[in-house]
Amino acid sequence: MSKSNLIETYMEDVLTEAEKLEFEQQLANNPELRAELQLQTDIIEAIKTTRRQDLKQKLNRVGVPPSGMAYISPRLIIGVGLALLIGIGGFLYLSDTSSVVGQQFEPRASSTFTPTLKEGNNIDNNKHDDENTVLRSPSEKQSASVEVEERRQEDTYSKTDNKTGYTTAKKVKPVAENIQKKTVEGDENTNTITKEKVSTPTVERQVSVPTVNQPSVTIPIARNRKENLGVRLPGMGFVDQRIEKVSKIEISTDNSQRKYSFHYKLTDNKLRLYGDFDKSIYEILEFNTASEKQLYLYYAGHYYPIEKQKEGIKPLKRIKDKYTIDSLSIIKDNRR
Amino acid sequence: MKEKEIFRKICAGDESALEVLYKKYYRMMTRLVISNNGTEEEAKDIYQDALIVFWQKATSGKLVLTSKISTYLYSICLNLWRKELERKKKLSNEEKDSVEYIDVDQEERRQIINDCISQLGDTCRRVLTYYYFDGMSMQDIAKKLEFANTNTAKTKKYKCKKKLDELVKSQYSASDFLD
Repeated sequence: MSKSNLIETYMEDVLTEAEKLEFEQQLANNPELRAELQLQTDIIEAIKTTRRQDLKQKLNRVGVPPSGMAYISPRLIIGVGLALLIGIGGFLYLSDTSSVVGQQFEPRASSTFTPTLKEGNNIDNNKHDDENTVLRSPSEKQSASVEVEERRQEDTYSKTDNKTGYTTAKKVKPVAENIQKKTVEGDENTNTITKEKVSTPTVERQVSVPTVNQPSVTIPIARNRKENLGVRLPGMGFVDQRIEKVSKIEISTDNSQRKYSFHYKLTDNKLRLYGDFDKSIYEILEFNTASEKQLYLYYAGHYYPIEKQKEGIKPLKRIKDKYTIDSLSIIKDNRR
Repeated sequence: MKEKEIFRKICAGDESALEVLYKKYYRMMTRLVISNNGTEEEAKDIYQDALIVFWQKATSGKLVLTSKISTYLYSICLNLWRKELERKKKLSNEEKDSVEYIDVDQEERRQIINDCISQLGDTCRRVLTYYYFDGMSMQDIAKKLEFANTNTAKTKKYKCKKKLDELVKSQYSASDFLD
C-alpha cells in the first residue's frame, strides 16, 4: 500500500487492528509521515468545512418566515425623510375624515355632557372661563363658544393654523371634565334626566361643528385647555398630536460601526441610527408642543423613545409600557 | 411532497428536497431554541446544523429512519442546543481567568487550503465534497454528476484529490510550512 493510500485508509478507519498498530508505530518514528497525516487531516477538514458552508448558504437563501412570537408583517414602507410625507399625508387625511369621526364620537360627548349643564350654574362659579362657557344655558352658549374660539387664536398651539384643532379641543374637554364631576356628584343623576331633553339643542349644535381630531377618542381625562389635544406620553405630559407641516428632523443610518449595533444619536434635529435598519421598516413619530419636542422610533413592531443626548450615542431601549404603546399605535395607525 | 419522498430524495443527494424540509420545519425547530433562551439567529444556526447532520447521515446511507423526520430533527436540535449552552457557559467562565490563545500557523494553513479548494474546478470540488462530507458512494456520485460509470467517479476523485494535495503542498512550501 502506498503512503498516501495507507494514510487515507487509516483516516477512514478501515484498517485491521494489526495494520492500525503497525501504522501508529511508524508514525511514532517517522516525523515525515506525521506531517503528511496532519496535512491530510487539514485538507479533508477544509473540504468538509467548504461543503458545510455551501449548504448553509443554500439554506440561508431559502425564504422562511421569522419565528419570533410576535410577527408583524412589514406593511409600511417609510424610509429616511418620510416623516415629512407622513406629516402632510396625515394632515390631509385627518381633514378629510374628521366629520365622520366626529359623528361617531358625538353620542358619547352628549350623554356625558348633558347632566352637568344643570349643575354648572350652581357649582362652577370659580372654574375657569372655558368651563363656564360650557355650563351656561343653551342660549348663552353660542356667543360664549365664539369667545372661546377667538381666544384660542392667540393660544400657543396656533403654530398650525388648523381651525379644526380648536374645535376639537373645545369638544373633548367637556367630556373629560364632566366624567370627573359625575363621580363626585353622582346622586344628582335623577334630576338630570329631565334636564337632558332641555339641553338637546346645545348638543345638536355641537354635532354640527364639523371636526374631531381622530385620535382624541381615546384621550384620557383632560384637565386644562392646553392638554386637550393630546395623548399622555412619558416625560411629556400631554402631547399635541397635530403635525407640523415640515419635519425638521434629518435622519441617517450608519451600519459601519461594530460597537453600535442598535443605537442612536440625536443632536440639533439630526437623528443618526446605528445598526442594521434594513431588515424592517422604520418610522419616526414626532410630537411637538409649544415648549418641547418628543420623538419615537417605530421599528419591527416596537417603539423606542428618542431623547436628545448630550453625551453621544445611546442604545435604543424598547418601550414596554402597554399604555404608551397603545397610544403610539393609535397615532401611528391614524397617520397612514 | 410526502415525507417518504423527501427522505428518498435526500438520501440520493437532492438538495432541493433538503430545502423543502428546511422550510417545512423551520418554525417548529427554531421555536425550540428561542423558547430555551436562544436568539432567532442562534435558533436558525442550530436548526441548519441539525439539518446538515441529518443530511450527512442520510446521504452516506447511515440513516435508517424509524421515526418521523421531525422527531429525529427535533432530537438533534435539542442535543446541539444543549451543547451550545454548555459551550457558552464554559466560555463565560474561562473568560474570567484565561488569555485567549490563537494558533496563527494553524489559521494560516487553513486559509491556504481554502484558497486551493477554491482554485479547483467545479466538478473536482463537487466530487471531493460529496465524497468526504456527504459520504456519498461512488455510485451515487457518478449518478449525480452524470459520469459514465462508477469507475469514472473513482478516477475523478483520485485525480482531484491528488491535484488538491499538490496545490496545497506547493503553497505550503512557498509559505515555509514544509521543510
